[in-house]
Amino acid sequence: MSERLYELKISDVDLTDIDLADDRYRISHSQTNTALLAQSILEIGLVNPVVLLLVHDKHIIISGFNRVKAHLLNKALTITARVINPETSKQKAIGSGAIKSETIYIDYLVLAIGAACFKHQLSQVELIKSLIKLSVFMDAGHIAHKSGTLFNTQLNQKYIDELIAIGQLQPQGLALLESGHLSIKAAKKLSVLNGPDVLVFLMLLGAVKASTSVQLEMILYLTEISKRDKLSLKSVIQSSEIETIIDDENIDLITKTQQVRDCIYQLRFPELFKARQDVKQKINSLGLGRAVKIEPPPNFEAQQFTFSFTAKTYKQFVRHFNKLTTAVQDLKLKDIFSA
Amino acid sequence: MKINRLYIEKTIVHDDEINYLISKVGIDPEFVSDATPVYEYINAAMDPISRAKQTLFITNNKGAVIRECPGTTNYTCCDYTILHTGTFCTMDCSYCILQAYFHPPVLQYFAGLDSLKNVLEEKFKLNKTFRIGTGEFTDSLIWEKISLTPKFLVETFSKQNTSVLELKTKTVNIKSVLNIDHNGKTILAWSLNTPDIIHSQEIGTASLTARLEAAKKAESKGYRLAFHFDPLVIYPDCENQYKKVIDLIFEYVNPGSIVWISIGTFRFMPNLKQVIEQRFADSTICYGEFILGLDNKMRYFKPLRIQLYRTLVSHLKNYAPDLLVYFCMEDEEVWQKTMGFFPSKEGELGALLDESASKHCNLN
Repeated sequence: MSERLYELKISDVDLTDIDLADDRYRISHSQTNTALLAQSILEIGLVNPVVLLLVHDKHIIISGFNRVKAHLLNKALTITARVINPETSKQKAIGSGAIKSETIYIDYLVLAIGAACFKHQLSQVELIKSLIKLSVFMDAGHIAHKSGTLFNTQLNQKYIDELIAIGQLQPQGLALLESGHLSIKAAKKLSVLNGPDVLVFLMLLGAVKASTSVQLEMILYLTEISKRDKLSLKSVIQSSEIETIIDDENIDLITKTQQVRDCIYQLRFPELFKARQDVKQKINSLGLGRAVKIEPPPNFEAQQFTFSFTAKTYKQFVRHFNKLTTAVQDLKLKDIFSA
Repeated sequence: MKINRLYIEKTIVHDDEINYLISKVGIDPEFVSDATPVYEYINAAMDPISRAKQTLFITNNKGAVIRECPGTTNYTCCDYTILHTGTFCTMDCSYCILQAYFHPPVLQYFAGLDSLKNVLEEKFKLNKTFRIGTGEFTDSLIWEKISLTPKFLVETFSKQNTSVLELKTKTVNIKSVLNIDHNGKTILAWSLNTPDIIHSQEIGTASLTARLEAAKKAESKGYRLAFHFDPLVIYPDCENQYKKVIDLIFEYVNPGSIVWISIGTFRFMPNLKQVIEQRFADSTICYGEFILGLDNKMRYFKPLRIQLYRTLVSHLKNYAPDLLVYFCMEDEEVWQKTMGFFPSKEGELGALLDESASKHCNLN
């Protein structure tokens, strides 16, 4: 790649001569507002010409998928492009066997990646997709070595290996990464599982919207339940308890996520969950309200409960204090300690 | 696991103890100036822990030969005294904390019966009861077939009347100590578990009945006995399975021969989990309801511990009401709810154990 194997010539290309279906060089699937871009092009003009490659009688896009789309929206007939001329002497060398065709492909690929990442910082999914395409021709060490010029940033080999492994997740995995339903850390955990297990996890994580730590917690606990109960991950994840929550269309995504999390926790730690619920119920039944808090010991390992309230005024202090003294007469309070 | 590599530190004196050991191992030793080549050899393996179990390093003990069990805050310790005769183990228990405790784990045999003798005699001179054991960082009897140490220790303790030696094991290696004069000052102790757990988690150890046969044999030679239900593992039907183990104990031995029985549920440093998952893929032992304990070890959720303890203690007491049963590293709530009392004062549990040792082993 030290020497460029192509020449770029500026020319106006008929939009009908562009093969829109061929997206082999597409790196970015960002949700650009094409209407706004189209309007901008109408008012300011096309600032950066797209990059096209002439293949037989058609052009395929190396860089500028959204710009071409915007032109179509503007009902333009042509677009200004930098066209790679396949009749260059270097390319002719392919025919003579002096250069392998895949060497040319890498060069176009690098051009496509460069066009994307020097324009904006690649998203993780764009980076993964680029790495997957590059990994066909280069090992992770080579990519790491070249990463500065390829990606406008240094990447180490381990990270590249991890991203390539994540790239092997089903297309749903990358889609969830893109939509924020799946974090890179969680994807990394999934990347070591087998295909069917990955799919059921993706279905679950796609149905909720959890933070990275909660995604990791769900993956960990579900995997452990599966091992503990000697059940397939599919049967654990698609158990009626979890499915009922997932299928409930009457609850919002945040509530659904919390309920799924609680359900998984309950399956993983049934006795601990029950104890927590019991104590919570007993504390609530004391009717102390929000101002007076009772915190049981973490995981009930220690024995100390914490009672606390805050007061801005003496009157408030007396009110909270009285609530507590009333609770002293309540057997349910005694019950909490003997749980 | 069988030893297939033997390293000896060059400075080790080749006396009867070492010559006997080398001849019994039956492998040409490699002499090394320090532990570095041993560490390198072990760490080069895909599974350093397995390799360490097959690599014996005969060396001098560079640290304390004898010391108090460190215990931990928040949980009651039995005030045991540890005699260091070696580290690590040839058996392969999934839950063994030594896998994560040493970095890397090295199967060390500490040479020098004289140094053991010297530190013990200093202890004996204090005219105080010590319960001394070698089973904290290794199994007390893994080297019995090839080493003079167990016999030496039993004989050394037999000549005094203030302290007891506890040899704790999962083997049946008692031949060399069976017919010697122990003077009742050695307690032979077996870790016990259910056949399910022995079979699935305690790889390379003796079966339950073999351990109890050995205990019976030891009892017939006048040895005092102890048993340790540690770790208790919670799994479906475990209560009945542990009760059956208790039934078996009393089929084999007399309650009067048992100095104490300890019980403790499985607990582990969090980093052991990864080791278990890597080395024992089929093990489900770390997927119980564990919470982070006050000593930063993972422990079963307390009500589950208490439930199992209650069952076991009650069953044990049915057979032997006066038997000293104690918890290893448990807190006041567990003691109170299970035993109905708590040795709250510092050294109180230790004093109870000393008392039982005195009674059973005729200590001054």
